[in-house]
Amino acid sequence: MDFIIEFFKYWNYVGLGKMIRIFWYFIFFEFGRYVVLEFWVLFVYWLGRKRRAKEWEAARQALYNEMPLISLIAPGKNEGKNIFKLVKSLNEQTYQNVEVIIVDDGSDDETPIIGRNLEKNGLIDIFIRNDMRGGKASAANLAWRYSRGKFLLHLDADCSFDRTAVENIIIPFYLDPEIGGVGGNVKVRNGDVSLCARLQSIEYLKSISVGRIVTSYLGIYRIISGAFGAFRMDALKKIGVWDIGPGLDGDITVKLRKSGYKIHFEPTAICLTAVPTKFSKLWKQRLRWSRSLVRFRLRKHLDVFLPHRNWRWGTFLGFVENVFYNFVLDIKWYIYIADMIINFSSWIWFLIPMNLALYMIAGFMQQLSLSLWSERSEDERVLWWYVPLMVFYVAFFLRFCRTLAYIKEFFWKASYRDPWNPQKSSYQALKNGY
Amino acid sequence: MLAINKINKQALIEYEDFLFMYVEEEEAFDSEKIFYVDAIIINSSSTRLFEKVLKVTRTHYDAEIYLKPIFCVQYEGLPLQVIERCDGLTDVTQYQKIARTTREIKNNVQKLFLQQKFPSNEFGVLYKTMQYLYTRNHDLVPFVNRHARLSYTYPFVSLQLEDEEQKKILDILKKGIQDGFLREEQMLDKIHICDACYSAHHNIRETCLHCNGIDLKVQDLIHHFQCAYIGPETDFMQEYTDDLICPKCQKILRHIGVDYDKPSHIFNCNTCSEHFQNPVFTYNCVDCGKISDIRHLQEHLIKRISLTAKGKQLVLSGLPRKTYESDSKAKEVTGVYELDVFKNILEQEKARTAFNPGRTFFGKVAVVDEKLNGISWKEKMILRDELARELKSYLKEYDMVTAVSAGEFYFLKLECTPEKLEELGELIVFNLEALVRSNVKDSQVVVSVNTQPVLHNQTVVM
Ligand SMILES: [Zn+2]
Ligand SMILES: [Zn+2]
Ligand SMILES: [Zn+2]
Repeated sequence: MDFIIEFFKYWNYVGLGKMIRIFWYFIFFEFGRYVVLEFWVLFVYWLGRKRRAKEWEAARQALYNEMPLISLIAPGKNEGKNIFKLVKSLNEQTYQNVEVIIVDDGSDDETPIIGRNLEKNGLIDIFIRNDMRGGKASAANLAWRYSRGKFLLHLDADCSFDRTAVENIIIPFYLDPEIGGVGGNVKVRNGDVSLCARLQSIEYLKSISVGRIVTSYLGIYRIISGAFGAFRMDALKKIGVWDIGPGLDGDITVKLRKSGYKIHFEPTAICLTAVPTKFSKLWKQRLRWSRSLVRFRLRKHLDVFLPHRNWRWGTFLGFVENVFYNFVLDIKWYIYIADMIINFSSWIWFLIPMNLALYMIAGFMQQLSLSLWSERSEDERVLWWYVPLMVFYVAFFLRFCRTLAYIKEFFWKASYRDPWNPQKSSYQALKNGY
Repeated sequence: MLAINKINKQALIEYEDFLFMYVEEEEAFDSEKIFYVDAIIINSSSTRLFEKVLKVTRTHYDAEIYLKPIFCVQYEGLPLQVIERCDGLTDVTQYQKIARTTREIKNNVQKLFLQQKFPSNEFGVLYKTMQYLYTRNHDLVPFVNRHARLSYTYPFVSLQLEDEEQKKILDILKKGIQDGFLREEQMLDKIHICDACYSAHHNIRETCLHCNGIDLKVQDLIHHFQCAYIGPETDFMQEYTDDLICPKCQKILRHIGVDYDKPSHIFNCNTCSEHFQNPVFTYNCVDCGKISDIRHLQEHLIKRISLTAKGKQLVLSGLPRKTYESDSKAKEVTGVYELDVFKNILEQEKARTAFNPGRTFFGKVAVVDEKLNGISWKEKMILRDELARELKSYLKEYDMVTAVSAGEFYFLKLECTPEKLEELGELIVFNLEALVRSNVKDSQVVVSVNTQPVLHNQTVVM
């Protein structure tokens, strides 16, 4: 009790000016970017909803007048048990002129038997198996090679889809002929399994469902999720499809942008995915994801910072934003902590609770904007209880994971040894500087 | 003592106390004489003659003839189908050997019980085969024969059935094995036969998953490691050079396993231009033209088969009378029917009750007695028929009875009321129990009667 009185006395004494000095990091980078900017963009976006609805209906009509064939591809390893569920969920789609192509990349379980069976019974159109694993990129490329559709939808076999998902992810191509790729809205299906999954539910909502409306609107949307992304077939051909991963989702998006295509995020094309339910597994997954930032942003596609033929502000800013928020700020955060400890060490027991309180307030504000946008906000109401924990999840768990990944990749090029790609591919990619 | 009485090309040879028929030409073969010769010796390289003699003798109704010894004179290149089916290869001078074998066979034939009637044609074939095996003291050894529908010919048995019916051989032998008369010895082969015509002759081809076309092209898939491109070999092939060049990154593929590999293959159908990796293997039946998935072929094991002690016993003592006469006996008493017939009539009655409900009943009579296990099968059959007749005597002329076994009977009571039915049940229990007690020593018999109304559109619980 005494502490709380002391706490308020202290902050009252400090005053606003000094508070900004202490929490500059939070106020400028976190609150400014994730609360103020997002609220503003979402507000503007909301204002344009009537015009968008009209354009959307026209594009939808155009899609159904043309009725193009859409190739749904799901490359993967040991996904047998998911394929049947996937096919079932695809049968429920409102848009039905599709072909389903499954590539089994060297599974060592019963996947080939299941796949062959579904193929024989006409539930999938082509099932191709590589006896030798070639990695995710080559599996996707193989599926692309045998796709005949006008558009290609890249899916993860362990995802399931809203009934209108296929229709909604294709419609944007009819909104703007310059669009070369559309990202779908990925949400968490197994959020109620564990705390770890719950926190990811919030994270996905923040960074994908709402975060990408914002980045897409600002023209700096970076990653078409491999779990659910649509591409124009001719665009894929032009950019030479997928290169070796990891991070091939981000890579292909950058390649599309570099070739002059626009990238769009479609919040109404909804897909549900299962996330890791244990922190240990999540840690590994995020290490891999984070490493790709160094590899693709800073090594392979460094030329977006240099002027060239298809140089675009959007691509450039997207890169800058991504690198800044993930990489530069990551380093700055440590400087900030050091700043706090050195300059305000005597007041540290007042600073930490205040800092946490501020983050929580920001967290709740973001949650408010999520629930305003979500089509399943009823179901997601339970997530409110977990918002305070998000502070720790984002500030510590994810940050430490990211830092470790950057250090490893930057200094030791760890991703080239990633068991996620077969050795033969990684070796060739390293040698040729991809 | 050797005397040759030659009439044209067909000669009769007397040797010791035997008379052999000696045949050299088809036209000279006189089937009328088979009955009084002891064996037939064929001296011809003509398979046709051999087949004709074999067919005439082995399919005769008389055991003395269908079991007649047949010998062949050894020729270079005599086909397997001759060698495997005659009782011995011989030289024109080896009458002693022929006589010895003939004597053995004749002695064995004389020991046989001369069974004339069989419960079914199939059983007749089985029975005759067992006789054949007994008299030859030899196992039944099928041999490969490209003229045979099953691709295998069984000595003796195959002749008993027409070409289209050859599959029945397998069923007949299986029945013999199930009943313990025959025993399977070592496995010789597996055959796969058409499920429409039971022929083992077919072409097996790879066909398209989608259109059943057979014009398929298979190609390796090539994976270029550097750029992750993967596609069929033709994507990499060049018009003017033998180089393989990656269509994505334009690099030349140099060394398999280092910069590229071939992780799989893919089929392309030239008929419908679909792609797939696993074609369907289909067969095209040479005999009936059916085209179907090879999984529809029936697999059968070809085994050497021997006669068991039980089988020998059967051919020596003949069939118990009831097994081949039960059909006719059951029908002698009007109103006692075979189970199948009974079920048929029951179905008709069910339909009829739609117009006349509540007056038809199905009854089940159970006769339980441990002592029944002790009596022989033959006695059991006699008791069964007697019980069925007794049961029928308490029913009206148009009511029906069937015997499932010596312990279970069904009846169908028409135009009855539940009260009358109950009286009837008591009567049946009392009288059947009395009948069993008088027939079986120390009987503890319990007879029970269960009835249910027969109703339109309602299954009768048997
Ligand atoms: Zn290449
Ligand atoms: Zn075809
Ligand atoms: Zn056939």
